[in-house]
Amino acid sequence: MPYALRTDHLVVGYDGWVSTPITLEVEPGTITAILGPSGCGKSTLLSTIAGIREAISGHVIVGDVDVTHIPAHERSVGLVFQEPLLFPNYDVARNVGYGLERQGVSRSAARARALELLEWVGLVGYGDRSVDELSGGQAQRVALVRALAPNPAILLLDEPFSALDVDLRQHLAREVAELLRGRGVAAVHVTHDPAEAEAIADHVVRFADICE
Amino acid sequence: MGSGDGALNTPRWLRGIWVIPLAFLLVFLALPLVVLIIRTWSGDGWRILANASTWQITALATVQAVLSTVLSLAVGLPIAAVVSRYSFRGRALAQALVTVPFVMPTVVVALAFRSLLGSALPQGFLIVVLAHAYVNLAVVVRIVGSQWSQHDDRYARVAQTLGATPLTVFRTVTLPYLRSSIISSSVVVFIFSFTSLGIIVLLGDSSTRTLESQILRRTSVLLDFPAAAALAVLQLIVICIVIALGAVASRKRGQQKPVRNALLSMPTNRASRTAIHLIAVCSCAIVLLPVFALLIASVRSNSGLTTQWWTSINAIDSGTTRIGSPVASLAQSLQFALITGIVASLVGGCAALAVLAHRWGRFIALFAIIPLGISAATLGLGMLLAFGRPPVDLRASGLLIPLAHSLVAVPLVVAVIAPALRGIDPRAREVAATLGARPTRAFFTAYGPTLRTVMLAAGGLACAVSLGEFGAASFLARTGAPTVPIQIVRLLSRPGEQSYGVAAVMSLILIALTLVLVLVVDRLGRRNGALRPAH
Amino acid sequence: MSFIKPVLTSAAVGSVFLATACAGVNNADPVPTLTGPTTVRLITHDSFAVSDALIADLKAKTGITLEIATGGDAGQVVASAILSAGAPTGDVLFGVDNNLVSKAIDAGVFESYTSINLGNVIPTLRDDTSEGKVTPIDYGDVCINMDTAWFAKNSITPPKRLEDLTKPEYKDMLVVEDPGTSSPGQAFMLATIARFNDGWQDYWTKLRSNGVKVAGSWTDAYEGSYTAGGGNGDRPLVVSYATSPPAEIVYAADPKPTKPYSTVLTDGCYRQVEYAGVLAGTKNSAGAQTVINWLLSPAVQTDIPLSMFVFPALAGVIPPKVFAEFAAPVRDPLQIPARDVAEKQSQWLDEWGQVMGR
Repeated sequence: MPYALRTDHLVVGYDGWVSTPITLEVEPGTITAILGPSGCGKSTLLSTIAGIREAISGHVIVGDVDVTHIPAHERSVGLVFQEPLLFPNYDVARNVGYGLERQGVSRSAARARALELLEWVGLVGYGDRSVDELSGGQAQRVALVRALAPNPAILLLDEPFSALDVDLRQHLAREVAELLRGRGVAAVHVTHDPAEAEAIADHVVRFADICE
Repeated sequence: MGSGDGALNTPRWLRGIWVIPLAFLLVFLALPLVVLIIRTWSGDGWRILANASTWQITALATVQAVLSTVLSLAVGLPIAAVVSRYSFRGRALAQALVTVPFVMPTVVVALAFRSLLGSALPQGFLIVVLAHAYVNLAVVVRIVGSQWSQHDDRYARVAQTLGATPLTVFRTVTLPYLRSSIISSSVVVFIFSFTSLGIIVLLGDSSTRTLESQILRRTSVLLDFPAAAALAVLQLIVICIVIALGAVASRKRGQQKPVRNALLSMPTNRASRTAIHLIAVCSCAIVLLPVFALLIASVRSNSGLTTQWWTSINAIDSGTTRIGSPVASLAQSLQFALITGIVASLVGGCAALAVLAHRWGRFIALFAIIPLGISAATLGLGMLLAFGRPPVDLRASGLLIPLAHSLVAVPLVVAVIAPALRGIDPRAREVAATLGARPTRAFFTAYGPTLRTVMLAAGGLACAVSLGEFGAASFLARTGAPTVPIQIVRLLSRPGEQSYGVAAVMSLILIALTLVLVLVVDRLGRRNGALRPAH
Repeated sequence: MSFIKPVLTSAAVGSVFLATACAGVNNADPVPTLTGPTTVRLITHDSFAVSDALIADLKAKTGITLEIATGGDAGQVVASAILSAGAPTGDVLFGVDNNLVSKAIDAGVFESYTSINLGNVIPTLRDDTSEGKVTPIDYGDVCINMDTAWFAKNSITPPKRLEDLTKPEYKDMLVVEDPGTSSPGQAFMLATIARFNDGWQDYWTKLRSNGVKVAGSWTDAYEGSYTAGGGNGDRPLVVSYATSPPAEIVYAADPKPTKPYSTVLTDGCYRQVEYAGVLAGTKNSAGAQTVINWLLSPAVQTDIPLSMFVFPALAGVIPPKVFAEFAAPVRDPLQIPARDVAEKQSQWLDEWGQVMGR
């Protein structure tokens, strides 16, 4: 059975900084946490896996496809940043349905699906709202289901809760872990908080080892 | 945590700031126009509005201005996408270069176009639209670029991972973000093209007349002031309609949160790098081609290559009142530019701030665009009438010229500053306030860094406007050295290769001066931005 | 408002100071011959020029400091003067020409003054003072210029009369300026009206079908389209001035050519006369009058040809060598009375526009 995601001696870099070769394997339906201090190239790794930054060498394999040279929009890799980055020109439901529309789903069908997805995260009746009306936690939930909507093979979470306050952060981390497990979605979760990593992940990788 | 309009923690002085731009515009814009109309009032003037040709000119000028705007956007957006977003060597220079056409005196632009295109392109519609697009490139690149440079790239990245192709990303993410600046730059370019004068006179034909060119004919050839005033009012009404349409079109929608210092590093992908370099090089080439024609003119004589236009520049016409020293002219131009830069960025900055602080502020900002559409000829004459009686005889003071320049520059300043301020999350101010900062302090914590950066950029643009401007001010008699554009025009209005050669040299000096100015201001702006990191 | 206020205040103080200074002079010396130092402001167009030495000389002899204020082209200057008639921005105006003068007179721009030097002005100009309101200072002729070398090279005989320009052998050779935007352009239109009377529109129709090119300004026509101009022009005939050939030499590259590139078609030239006048409402009539006399003095009149490339109005002035050799003397210049121009100008421009499709 193939991995949901595998990086094979992947070297990533940014403005002259170059990582050591990274080999990472994520089995389907599992959550891997990458733990390490900030400014250590964790985000660069995720960007490279997602395809919005080019690999310096090595390979990224999603499912059984080598996507190293495939552009981001064809990779089936979901990405959630620290901030929700919702598109303010669309309402909440259109945000969630954005990925589906890109797959050719009609706008109304995408909207119906989006409303279902919003239900998962307890946002019933929020579909027509403007994104400016959401609280920080609500917005991040919307960002999460937006990334899940097109059914990515793997979901990358780049410190998705660190902008929230402590109570909310822990609560949401558990909620997200449940959701992902319930849906059988494989994920890579980057964080600098060991407690959060333990709470959410099946495996924890310490990034400090490869961070020189 | 505060919510809603945040009026509770708006500093008091900020709530009253709309008074400054309003007073400035009323005194220096509305008053001259009203005085001119009252003083020259006669029923005869309005009869010109019954002329079929007046409406024909209005319609043709509208078509011309729309095409000029579309072309400016088509060329300007790719340039803005590259020079205001990616960090590459020579970026600052490329960005400054694009500003150059905007400040080249129209007479120089027209001559450069003529010597470039020769008889390949006859004068008329097409060459006028081309020249307008060339001149207004800077408006698009500056206004859209300043917003684009603060675009948080991660919005686009998220869209990409959701399956959006680069084109879809542009359509669904980038374009909505840029919407307000694209609309405001379009309004500005439209107004400039619709009210164009120099290029119309020099490159146009019967199909490209503008109301402004008819106003000039009425004021300074036929001396028919009532008709000129009637046409000026018509022009003003058209401009107001366009501004209102622009305001409706850019009605506030949700805005992606901008980031500062969002310059992207060059992509590692070779094709993208090549495309970026290509666009940067092409934009410089577009800008420099006419400049290159000037460079050739500055070293050419009938008998071959010569350096004498460069070496004789200080000696030309010495001993007469005719030209005066170019150094004196440069000093004069710089002095006007400096005053214009300060006045325009203060007044324009206040107008942009009024948008934030006052419910009616939006209307102040809209009002501030109107000077772009004011007929230069009527403004010049109106100022003469309005400020020519004791106790305020400003005519002789020489201050009217930078004030007239400032009027033209204020709308551009607002167009640069307002979108940038609007993009700042008002919650930042509220957060600062909850941390115990007093309103003023909280305000500057949230807005200070951006305000400083964009005010400097806008001030630089205002200086550049003043350096190249010559319309409204040409009616205002003044003593002392002529400004550089006036020098150039005087040189060009007499025969002999020396006149042409030295005019080319002076144009090049003006261009170099603008380049240096814009480069310095850009650098200052960036340094200030860098002093205060985003968090 | 706080930053505007100081600006206004300082300007107001400045003008009050100026006013009292002038008043002081007038009180001390009411007679029109000046003894004390005073400043006279001359309002003129951007092309005005005299040698600095003459201004210094004026100060040495009369105590007058001449302040030159320029404000656009002649039309713009006169427009401004008309709108501020009675409350002038200066004391004396130079540069109103015969096409604009009657409108300025009607608006009450000038107060009467007859220069003490008027008697020495060449006879054809002497009586032309709009009932003693203005004084002729110089004149020039707007004529067709021809690229001598071009005609020689192409073995074509240059045209001799205005009528020749409509002939097929001169097809696509002429560039003129738009009379609606250019002063020489307007003069040339007036020349055709003076010459052909009711047939002037037919003449333009023929010019049009013979490929005449219309430029927006003199600069554009001469430097952009004329073969002997600055650019890559393709027209060997251009509407310019009778004094353009000497200017070509004076403003040529070193070493100066021995002959100008252009010759002048002296048939069908339109005469433009430039006047000066004392601005009504000036507080310094005496100073203004002195400046008019100075403009008409032999020294300034001798200077005028090479500083402004026009002919002096004063009789008996010996022209500089380059002028004597190459400026074309025009025997029978065309002219239309100022009144008629003022009355019909607008109509003529409209008719010209219709004929030319502009």
